[in-house]
Formats: sequence, structure tokens, C-alpha cells
Amino acid sequence: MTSLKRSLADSKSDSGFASKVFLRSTKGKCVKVVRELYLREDIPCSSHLCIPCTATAPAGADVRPFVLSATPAGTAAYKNGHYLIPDTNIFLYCMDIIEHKSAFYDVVVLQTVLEELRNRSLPLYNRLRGLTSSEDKRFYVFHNEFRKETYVTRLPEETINDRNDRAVRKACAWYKSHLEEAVAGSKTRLPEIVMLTDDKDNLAKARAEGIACCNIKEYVKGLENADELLDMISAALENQEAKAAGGEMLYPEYYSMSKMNTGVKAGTMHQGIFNVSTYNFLEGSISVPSFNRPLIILGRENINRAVTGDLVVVELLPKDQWKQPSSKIVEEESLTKNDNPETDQPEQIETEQERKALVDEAKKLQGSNAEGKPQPTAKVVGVVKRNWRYYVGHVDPSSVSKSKSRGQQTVFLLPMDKRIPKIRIRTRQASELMGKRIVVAIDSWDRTSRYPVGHFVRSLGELETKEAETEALLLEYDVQYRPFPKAVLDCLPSEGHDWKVPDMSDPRWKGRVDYRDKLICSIDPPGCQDIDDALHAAPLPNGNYEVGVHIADVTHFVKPDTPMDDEAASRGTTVYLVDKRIDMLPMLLGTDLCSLKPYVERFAFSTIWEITPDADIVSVKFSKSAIASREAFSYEQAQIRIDDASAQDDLTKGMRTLLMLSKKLKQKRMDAGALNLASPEVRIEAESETSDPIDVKTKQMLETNSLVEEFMLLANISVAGKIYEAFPQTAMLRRHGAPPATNFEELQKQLKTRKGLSLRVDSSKALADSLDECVDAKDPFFNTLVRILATRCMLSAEYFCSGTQAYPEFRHYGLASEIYTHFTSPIRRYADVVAHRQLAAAIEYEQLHPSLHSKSKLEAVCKNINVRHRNAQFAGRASVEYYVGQALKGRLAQEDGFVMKIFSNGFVVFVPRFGIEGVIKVKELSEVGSAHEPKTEFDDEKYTLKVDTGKREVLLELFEKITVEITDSKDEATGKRKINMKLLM
Amino acid sequence: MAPPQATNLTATTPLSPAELSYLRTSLLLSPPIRPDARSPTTFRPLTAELDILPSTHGSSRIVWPDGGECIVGIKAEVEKAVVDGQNKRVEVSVEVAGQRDDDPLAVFLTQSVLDTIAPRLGERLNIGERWNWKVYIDILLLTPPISHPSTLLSLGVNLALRCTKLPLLISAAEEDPLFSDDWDLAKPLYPSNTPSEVPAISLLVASVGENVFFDPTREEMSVADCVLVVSVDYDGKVIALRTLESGSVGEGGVNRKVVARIVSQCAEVGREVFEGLEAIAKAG
Repeated sequence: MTSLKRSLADSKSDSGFASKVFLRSTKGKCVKVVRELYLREDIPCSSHLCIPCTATAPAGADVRPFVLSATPAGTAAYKNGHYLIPDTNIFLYCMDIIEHKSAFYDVVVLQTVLEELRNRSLPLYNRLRGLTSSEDKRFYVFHNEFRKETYVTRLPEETINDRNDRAVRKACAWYKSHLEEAVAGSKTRLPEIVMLTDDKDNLAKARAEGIACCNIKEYVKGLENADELLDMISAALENQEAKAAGGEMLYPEYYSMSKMNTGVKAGTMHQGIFNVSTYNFLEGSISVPSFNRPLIILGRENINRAVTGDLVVVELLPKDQWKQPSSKIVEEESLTKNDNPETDQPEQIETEQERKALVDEAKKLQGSNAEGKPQPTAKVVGVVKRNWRYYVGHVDPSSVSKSKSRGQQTVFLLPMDKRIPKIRIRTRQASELMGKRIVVAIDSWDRTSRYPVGHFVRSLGELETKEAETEALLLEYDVQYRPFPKAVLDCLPSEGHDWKVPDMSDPRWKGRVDYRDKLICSIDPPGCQDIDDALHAAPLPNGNYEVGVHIADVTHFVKPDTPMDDEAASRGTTVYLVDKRIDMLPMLLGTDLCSLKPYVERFAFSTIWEITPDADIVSVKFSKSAIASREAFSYEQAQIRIDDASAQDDLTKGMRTLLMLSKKLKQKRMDAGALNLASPEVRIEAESETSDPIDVKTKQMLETNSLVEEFMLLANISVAGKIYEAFPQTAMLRRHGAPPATNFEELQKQLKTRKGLSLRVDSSKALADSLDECVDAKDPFFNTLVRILATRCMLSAEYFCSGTQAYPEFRHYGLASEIYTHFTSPIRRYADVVAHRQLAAAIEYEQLHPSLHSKSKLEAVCKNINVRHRNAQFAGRASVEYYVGQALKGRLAQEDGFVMKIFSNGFVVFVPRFGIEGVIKVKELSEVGSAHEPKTEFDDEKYTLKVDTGKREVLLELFEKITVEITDSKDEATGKRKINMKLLM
Repeated sequence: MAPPQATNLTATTPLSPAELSYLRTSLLLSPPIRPDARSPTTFRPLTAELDILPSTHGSSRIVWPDGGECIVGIKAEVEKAVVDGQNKRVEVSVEVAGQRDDDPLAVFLTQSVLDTIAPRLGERLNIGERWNWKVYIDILLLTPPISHPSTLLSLGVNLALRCTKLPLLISAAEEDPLFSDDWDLAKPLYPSNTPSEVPAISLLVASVGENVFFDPTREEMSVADCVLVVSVDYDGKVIALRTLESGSVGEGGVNRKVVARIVSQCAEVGREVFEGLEAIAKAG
């Protein structure tokens, strides 16, 4: 009988086959995997020196030309030039150095190392892939697992890591012997093959086997700008053993992965995203599905090295340890000013100062406040996934030791984002880095160290310079601001600025309607160049009106599956800073070809309604078109034109019709319960030359603003209905969930206690009506303040794919509309581009691209654009704040302010003129010198704070109008500019 | 006793009445003369291989001299423990080449393997308190059997189970299970140092008059008075007993003493078979 059994470990080594068996366990299941490999002998070494490989390399279309140079660079240690073969750990911790332009060329990336890197960190793997595809870095991926001579079988009882290390060593040895053979006989000098690793074991074994090797520090020391590069080596590579021997006070150890999984599934532990409170850096909160209020986490030990944004697992503390959310303002800077950056001595994790800060010492009157009862408190027991990114900040000058200015020292980095803790970095360039904005990455946070450890990535420039600050802002909010790459610009039409709407005979007219005879105009903010939308209105013979909204036809130029589309999808939105605009699409499209400029013909996507004089919609029609806009107005210019009685031409009459209809539409929306919420918008007037800010003004709302807004809303709602009807599973829509009543509890109580006003929140109409009633006869601004506070209780609106929610969830709470989408601004929002494509397919203008049929792809797109939208808003606001700060430079302003939030040791003031918030601490109210600590009486039921300043008693109440003196000052210690508010009594 | 199973084996023996009568007479003699001159307790030679399917947790292949070939593959999966679910931890499927799934032979074989193996095996499959292994036994009869395949199958299953290995558990008892990824560290399901704890086997026995024959051929079965499938374990205890359709030549019926003798002989013959299997398993 012939045997069926094929022996796995093939005895004949040149049979060309190899197989391996292993077990893969995921989520409790265990699968036996058998892999068989066919080993080849013709995978090239890719060195220009090697002629035999050129001869035997497989021929074919996708074989790349050889990469490794014949004359690679040498260093002090390897004078004849060298090829580098790094280990996985080097890529994991030193990716920043490897990407640096000054070193690391001619590198062989082994397949073993690449695969291990992919399993450990996908982002780093992607960066390495980028390096291998760039031509000037000369990185070559050598598939050592497929090449017969370098294939390594796992020995019994050998761990995977040891086996991989052995594979790396074998590959190095093979490269050396192979190249020796290749240049044998000729006079060319042989480059050294150097293995780079930090593993002591591996280094020892390599030396024993005669392989040239070196650890990363020694290697970098031999390079030219060693200092700068050495700083960039991740601190995580350092020997941790020395540190662990020191401190007794440790953070608690994290639970193991399986214990956390079991706990979460059983319900004894909870998983969620950790957030740090903006006012108190020692307090964090986490939203978990089993509780309707977020859980509180207080104190450094309980936070246990979680950084804001991380996905963590928490365990509830016993009920007697439950605390109230802190009613104090606690800032890291002031509390930890005296911390020592060096780590030779063991440290205390929680200091006395911090413990005191957590205990509320203010006198409190009794009450059965729901806020007063202790809330569920938890502690962090493990981290599932870190969400660390690059952080922008500046070096804390007080942590720089002047005496060690040339040597390596450890300093603190203060991040721009107040919720991120101070980061320890080791640097040799401490003196050069002072006063600059720098970018760092966090590497690790040990149990023994009070602060996380990180490394320097790059410097952005001097603090307070516009370039550095703008770049810092954009980095913090992850905005892609590099110029468009060549691949994207290649997607633009070749005619460039000379592009014109073609003749009617051109095939591009297929399916398009000619609306060039209609009297269309556009109304936009002054100085706007990317005009997305234009309108027109004309009377119909039957007494109704024909109203049209025309949107720039971006999807004619941006086709799916092109580099330009991918870049736009990744950017998600245009980011508006005060003086800068980071475009989603190249300027040629945004400000010229797509923009509905006046006096030229352009392609558009039109929505035409027949509307009765009472603003009821009779019918709607969508079509791709070509238009010729007659005028481009600013809001003011349009208002002037409409009010000008002498203007009686058809265009102006059309504008008046639009205004009349928009008023009626608005009234209808208000009756249905739409919310009119105010956001503190300010406008910065800048000097035209230097764009230094001169003055800050609040934006004015004109009737024409409302005109455009109403019709844009109408268009969005109509399009939403149409694309949902055509694609019920995959339509790109926008929803705004109804906020839970608990969000408003605090505000309702405050209004009731302080002003005797009630806020009804059972429906959006109830909310809108009760907001209208929240007026203070003595102060007109009070109503706006309440609206601003109400906005903060709302949930954010989000984009979503229609198949992921049930129809009732499509509701847009704020606009009181059943269904909504974004359609009217495709130049600056990617969601609108998707909606355009879907609408075009719905009207059968063109076929829907397969990527828009896939629910999972659309969900990924939605997730990205939600994040980008939020970040763009934050970046815009931060830019305004910075400019307001700059506008106040050297000036002293006295303005009205409102007390927005009250704590036991301070309060938050909102200044409507500048649209900024500031904190005034109780300490600053002292009128007898800074040594005197004012006594306070904090009533958290009535929301009052009585302060004894030393000269008199001041009573501060929530929602009270006060006068503040606003100055800016530069903090001598940190070099940061801050806005200071002082209470004028 | 289970009702007799009709199989299409015994029904289509192409022997004429004269040949059947000749055969029966020679088997009724004492000592009996079997057509292939075997003694009543000799089995036909068989060949076996273990571990032939690398992607399974355990496998075996048995070839019978008349061409019957059987491959058994064992796979194991982790599942959450169900209350009183100990009996459901083993799933058997038998595929007879060329026959349908619901062919009575396939159903009979599946059930007999399950009855023989499942109860004792279930106890070995615990992982901590909340989890256990579920074992899938897949049996392929590659060539349509000429003689009844139940012994063949049972020996194949026995061998496959003996070389089955389960992954090594590295997590603690109360946590969700996590296993080592090294296959070489996997532990055998039936450790080789306890030879008495091996899965049971089924033996096909036929009786003609007072004589009892082990491993009967199809012809012998067609003249037998009674054909039984007896499952015995290492200690000689009878676990199950099934009747197959016997021949139509004799007067019908079987003496109770004969049945008793069958059962007692099964214990001894069983022990010899176990030792033979032990030798095969050790040889690998």
C-alpha cells in the first residue's frame, strides 16, 4: 500500500518545499494552521554590484530594477560603504530617524521584519512601505522567507522571536557570502553588511557568528548630525531595568488582556474612551454603555497612566469611595511647577498638593442636590488601545538645567492641549529648543514614572510667530496641509484656467439642461472666491414662482477612484483659519473652474422648485445644467440692492421674491420647532499688508444671510429625500440626535434657581419656545448667553449612511427636519461630493460608481468626515482665539462679561465682544496683596460664591453681568502668551 | 437489543444455494474450516498509518486486505460549556463513498461510533469550568466496502483518537482560554502512559451453530445464524451490542448460550486487538 503520509519536515533539503504548522488563537477559538511554502532560488539581492542576480532574476513586467547602490555611503566604522539590515525593534522605535534625510540609505528590509512590524503597528508599517516605494531612499524589501538559502525552520521549543532573530542573522550571513561571490575576482570594494539591533542576545550571537552588527546608539553616533538624531531615538528603547529598581511608589499594574476581556464580557469591568476634564487635569470621565451618566475617575493613581483619547477598561470602586465631580479648577502647570524632570530618585506618584486639591475645602451648605450626591467613580485597570499621536508643545524653561546645556538632559515638554500631561524627553539640544514650538511623540508610560516618556520629532519655529503657531494648530488637529502632490494635480483638466463650457454639440452636454438664460446671482461673504451656490427666482404664468438653487458641479471634475478624489476624501473638508484656508480641492477647481463666478458660464447641478406665494412646494426637479451667473453679491451689497427702491430690474425683483419666500420658509420652520441657536462668531479685522489683527468685531446677521440659508436648507432637504428614495441602504445623510434630557439638567436647575425661568426640553419646539421666553428685561444679551449654553448641551450632528439607522433616527433635531443631508457646498465638503454622485445616479444622469454601493466603504467615509469636520471646527476656533490674543497685545480693554460657570475656587467669564472665555481664580481677587488667600463661601445650590478679598466681600452669582479688564501677558517662565481677565469691582 | 439493521450488503451476495450450503456446513464443523483457512479468532491483516492529515488534530488511515479503505480525521473546537451538555461534545459524521447521507449503513455507523466513543470522551474535554472542547470525528470510507465496515471504522477511530493532540492552554483557569501557538507543545488527548484508558472498539462477530467467528467475510455473514457488533473497552466490559441481519440459510434463531460465549470471547479477543493497536500507535 502506498503511503499517503507526506512528512512535514522534508528530509531532502533541496526539494524546494517547506511547511510549518502552528496554532492561531483568537477570541477563545483555536485553529490549527498549516502553511506550505515553495522556496525559490531566483529572488534577487537587488544590489547593483551583483551581476549573477541580474542574470537569474525572474523576467516579467512587475520586476523592479535593482535598488541598492553599487557605492553605498560609508561611516566612520565602515569605511568601504555598508548596507543596513535593521531588526523589527529598530523600526518600531526609531522610525523618525530612519525617515530623516541625512542618513539611512541602502537598507535591506527583510520580509520577516516587515511582517512582524505589520502585526505590531500598522501605522509604522505604512510609513515603512512609503519609504520602500520612495526612490531616493533606496530601501529594498528582500523576501527572505521565500528564498531557499535564507529560509529558517523553527527548532523545537524555540520561541517565535528567537526564530525570527535567527532568520535575520542567516539573511545577513547569506548577503555577505553572496556579494563576496558576486564581486570575487574584480577590484570593486565590497560593502559591509551591517545588522542593526538593540537586542543584547542577538548582538552577542551575531558577533559569535562573525556578522557585523551594532546597536542603534553606536551607529547613530558615527553619523554626521549625531546629536539631533540621537534625540529622536525613542526613549522606550532605554534600559528599563535601572528605573524599575528605584521607586516604591508605583502605579498599579494593568490587568492582563484575557482578564480584562473576561471582566468586560461578564459586566464587572467596563470599556470606553477616556476623557480628561478641561478644567481639572486630575479628573477624567468615561462613557460606558451600562451607565447613563459618564463614570468619574479622580486622582493620578486611579487614572493610572491613561491619556485622553485612549480606549481603557475601568473597574467600579466600592460605593463608599464614590466621589462628586470636582467643583474646583485644577491646572497641571500650577500644581506641578516644581517637579523634577530627571528620574534618578524614586518619585511619589501622588503628592500632598494634589491630594489637597481634590478635597473640597470650601464651606458648603447642605442640600439634596443630585449633583451633590456622589456619583459612580471608577479606576483604570488596563489600556486596550493607546491613541497617541504627535503632540505640539514647548519646552518648560524651568525644567532646563543651565549647567548641562551641551550634554544630554531630560526636560519637560508642555503640550498645547491642556489635557495631555507633561512629557519627559531626553535631548542634547535643550538650549536651542527653548522658546520654540516642537513636535514630540509619546513612547511609553511606565509604572515607575510619574510622567510619560517621549522623544523629539521636529521643531516648527519660534513661539508666537505666525508660521509656527499656524503649523502647530494644524498639526494638533490633524489637518493635512502639505501642498497637493503631483498625482493629484495630474487629475486636473489640461486646459487649466482656459477651460470653458463647451459647445452644445460636445458629448459633455449629454443629460444637461441649458439654464444660461436665467437671471442667476450669488450671495456670499465679502471676498469669497469659492462660490458654491447661486440662486434665481422668476414668476410663472400660473401665479406661482420658479425658484432655482444651482450648486457648483464639482463631480464633473472629480471622478471617483482618482488620486484627487482620494485626497479629497481623506481631507474631508476645507479648513478655515483666520488668515489661511486649507483647501480640500486644488485652487484651480475651487476658485475657478467649479466656482460659480459671475459673467462666465459654468457647469452646475440645479434644483428647481415650483413654489406658491405662500412658500408651499408644488414640485421639485433636479438636473445637471450650465448657468451664467449675472452678479456675485456680498451679503451687504445684496441687502443694499434689495432695499434700493429705484432698482426695478428683473434680477432685483427676483431677489426680492427670494427674500419674501425665505421669510415665509423660516416662519414655517420655526413653527415646526427649528432651533435658533447663537454661536459667538467674531470677525477679525486685519491690516491688509501684514494681516496683523487690528480689531475684533462680532459678526452681524443681515436678512440676506437668512435668505441664502433658507434656500440651502430647502435644497438639502429635497436632495436628501431624493437620494434616500433611490438608495435606501447607502444614501449619505446627516442627522442630529435629540439630546437626552439629562444633558440639560444642570442648565435647567441653574436657570430655575437664579432667574426663576424654566427650560422645557421635551421636544425641539418646546425648547425653541422656552428659549424665546428666557429673557432678562435688564439685559438683552442674557438670551444669547442662554442659547450659547443650550448649544453646549446638544449632541453633535453627524454624517451617516442611511442603511445604518432606522428612519426615525434620520431626524435633524436642530432643524426639525425628518431627513437631511449636505449638498450645497461640494467645493469645501466631501460629504456633498458623495451626495452629488448619488443624486446624479438617482436622476439617471450617470451610473453610480461601485464604491458608493458599498455600505462598509461609505461607513468608513462617514467616520472620517465626521472626525475631519470636528477637527476643522476646533482648528478654526483655536485660530480665532490666537488672533484675538494677538489683537489684544499690549492693549488693555474693559468689557462686559457674564459669569458662565462657578467653582469653589474661581469662575469662568464669557466676554461677548471678543467671543472668548476666561478663568478668574479666587486668589486673584485679593485686594491686599498676593499673599492673602481670600476666604470663600461656595453655595452650589444657589450657584453663588462669596469672596472676602481682604477689603470687602464680593458676591458673585451665575449669569451675573460683570465688568472685566482684559489684558494679555507673556508668562516669563514659560514664554506663553495668555489672556488675563481681572474683575473690576 | 437494538432492532436488526437492514444493510444492502448481506442482501446481494452472489452465491448460489449450493455454495451457501457448502459454506455453512464447513463452518458448522468442529473445528470449523473457514474459506480462507483462518482460525475463528484471527483477523485479516490490515495496514494503518497515523497522522496523515496535517491540518487536523489527529488522523488515521486503515486499509483492509479486500480493498476497503477508511480515513478518519479529528478536529477540535473551543465552545462555551452548556449545562448538561457533556453528551453533546462529540460529533461524528460518516461518509460512505458513492452513497447518500441518509443511507442506512451510514446512519448505523455514525450512531455506533457515537455510542461507543462519546460518553467516556466527553469527560476528557474540559477546559476550566466554563469552556470545553468539541470534537468532530469525520470518517470517510473511500471504497465501497465489500465486507461490513464497522470493525474497520472503529479501529480507525481508535487510532486517530490516540494520536490526537489538543493545544496547550496557557491562560489561567477562570479566564477566557488562550492557547500556545506552538503545535509541538500540544498535549495528546489520550496520554500514552495510561494504556488502559483508551477508546473502546467494536468487533464484528458471527455465529454459525455453536461456532463463533471474528472478522467474518461477507460470505460467512450470509450463512451465519447471528451477526453482532460488540463494543468492548480495554477492561473487557461490553459497552454496546447491536444485531445485524443474519443469513437466511439456517433455521433461524440463535442459542442463548452461544450469545453468552460470543460476549465472553469478545473480552479476550478485544484485549489482543488493543495490544495490536498499541503497537501500531507506538510505531507511529
